[in-house]
Amino acid sequence: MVELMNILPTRPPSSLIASGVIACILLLGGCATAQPPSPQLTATLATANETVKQAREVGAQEYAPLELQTAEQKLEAAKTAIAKKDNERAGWLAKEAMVDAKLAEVKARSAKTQAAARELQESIETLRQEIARKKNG
Amino acid sequence: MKISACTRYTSLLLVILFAGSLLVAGCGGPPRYNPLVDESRASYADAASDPDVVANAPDVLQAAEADLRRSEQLLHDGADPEEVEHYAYLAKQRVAIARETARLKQAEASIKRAEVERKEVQLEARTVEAEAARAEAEASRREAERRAAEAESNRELAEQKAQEAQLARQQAEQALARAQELANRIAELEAEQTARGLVLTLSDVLFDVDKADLKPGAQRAIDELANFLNEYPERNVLIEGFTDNTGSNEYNLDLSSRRAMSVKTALVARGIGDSRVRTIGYGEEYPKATNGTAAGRQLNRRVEVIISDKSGNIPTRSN
Repeated sequence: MVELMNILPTRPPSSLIASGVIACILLLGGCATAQPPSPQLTATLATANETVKQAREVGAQEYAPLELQTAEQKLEAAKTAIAKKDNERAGWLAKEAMVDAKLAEVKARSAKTQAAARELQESIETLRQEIARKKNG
Repeated sequence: MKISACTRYTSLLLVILFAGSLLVAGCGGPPRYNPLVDESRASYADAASDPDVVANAPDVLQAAEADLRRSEQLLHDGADPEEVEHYAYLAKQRVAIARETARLKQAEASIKRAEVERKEVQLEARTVEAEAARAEAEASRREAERRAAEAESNRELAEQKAQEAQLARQQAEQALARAQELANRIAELEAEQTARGLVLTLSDVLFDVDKADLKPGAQRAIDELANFLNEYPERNVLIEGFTDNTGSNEYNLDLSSRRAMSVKTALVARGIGDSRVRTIGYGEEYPKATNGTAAGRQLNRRVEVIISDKSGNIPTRSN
């Protein structure tokens, strides 16, 4: 549409009408579905699968069970959508599963790292107390 | 002419645009407002203004912004709400990832700092421990020294006591020897132990009848007595003279006094101090035997020498 407006003064009216009609058809085409899964969709699905696996490996089941569950459900839903030839929805679900799994993974790593930091700080504190006790004793 | 043509094109374009927009609206829902987009926008704005998130997760934040803009564009274009919300959801989740990544990075940084700190504290702990061990060693060294000194002083004390005991034993032995010696000397003097102390009786064989001069035979007995007194300077003597009952009392008193004085003079001549020798004459008093026989009278004609105790005292005659 923007492109059409830019070229407006240099084009004759007939081609303008044709362009408008083509644009409308293109927009309508966005609504259509039922294409075989694209290589891009297959790749997204694989990445989502991998990310879920990674999240599990770093302990997301313990530290981010909700996000992990959502990711897994969306991954299943994406596969179902592909089976139903709904590739567009499958693509959305796969991408969402990917970010959900990523969030689960980061949450788990963050929680574990924070716990480790606290533990380290506590061990330092214990050591300091021991030093103070030895100094006084 | 040119202007009117332009106006015509414009109105034609408007018609086409209107038709197009109607077709687009037909694909999606009617709303231009989506709560999920609003929510994502708010959470993105929040995270984008947090310097921690901006510094630690710039890539994810950028991806979140791209998804947010996409959802806004789609919403603006009246796209399928499902697609709009898909991108809004992606944006929201990416913001959450960015926030969590920032927390993770901060925790990692705090671990790094804590590890440095722990190394320092461990070093300090080792130093303190070494210091404590040194102090303990020093304390036990001092204690050992104190014990050694104590043992040494005990040993010295024991030695001193042993020496004192030895000295005391020697003194006791000396005293015993002196006592033995005294006993021997007394035996030599043929003195006799009486209630008044040691009494040496010199019989009249030392004097001629009715005379006060010592006979030469008396010299040996006087020598022994003088030796004894020289050896025991703490002892004094009392010399008592006696007679038998022949002759007058006055005469006998004088004779007995003179005889006692003869003995004193002989002792003083042998270096015995004048003050150590007292004399007294009792005449015919205190007879030792009967004056009825010649043998009894001979026993009564005598001089008795009483030797004092160690303090120089002589009890007075009471019988």
